[in-house]
Amino acid sequence: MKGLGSKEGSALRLGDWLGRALLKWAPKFMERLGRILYEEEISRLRERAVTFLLECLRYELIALNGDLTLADLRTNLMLLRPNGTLQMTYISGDYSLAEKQLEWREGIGCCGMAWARKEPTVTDAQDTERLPPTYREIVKHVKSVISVPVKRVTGDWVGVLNADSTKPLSQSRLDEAELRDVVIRYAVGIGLLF
Amino acid sequence: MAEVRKHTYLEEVEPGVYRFADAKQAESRVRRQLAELFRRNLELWKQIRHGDQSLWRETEALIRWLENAQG
Repeated sequence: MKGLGSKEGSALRLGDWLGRALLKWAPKFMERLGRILYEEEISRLRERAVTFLLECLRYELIALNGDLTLADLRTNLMLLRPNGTLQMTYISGDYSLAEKQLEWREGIGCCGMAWARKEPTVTDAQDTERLPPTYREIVKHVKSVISVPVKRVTGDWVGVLNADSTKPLSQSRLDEAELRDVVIRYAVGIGLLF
Repeated sequence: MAEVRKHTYLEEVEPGVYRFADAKQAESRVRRQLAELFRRNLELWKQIRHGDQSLWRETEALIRWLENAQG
């Protein structure tokens, strides 16, 4: 610093300090940044995979039941929200905005029953008629549903996989073992992504 | 009210809400099938040297989880 003015000396000291700080913190910063980018990449892959799997599930159920068309059957994955309710996060098929915004409590509807019991559950139009009025009005066109809880590898529950139909159970056949096993297979597979 | 086709494995828990009496067995069967699928893939990965030891160990752990996890 000899021969330098006070301004130059301060600048050098600042530069020196910044250099040391960078050397000290850069590896940690880069590691953290790398982790964030990695998690974001994993998250994007998961979103693509889940969306694709919902579409595959829909097509597979229709392939197993010739009486159904794409217009009759939809699939969705509801995830558990911090407030303890379930809400659609991934969909395949046409859901109204009101349906997508519905929050389902434990024990309400097919998804809520499956969540409460932690086992595959199927409901028919009779259950839709028993829903609280606000729910019933929004999903009155749904005549049958199958819901399977989704568990992640760590053992905790992520949400519920649903397939619903505008046809009653007698036509959608969502209560048949063959179709149920397909939904269970997708639920287990989706759980591996979380 | 829609007529529901009753199956022997369906148990009505509330009006219009049914559980599958054999759900546990069905989930267990599906998990075993998936475990077998991963095992076959793991064998292939080892044969063609796809991935690394870490991936193989994780897949082995996943296979064990699939085989042991309760529905």
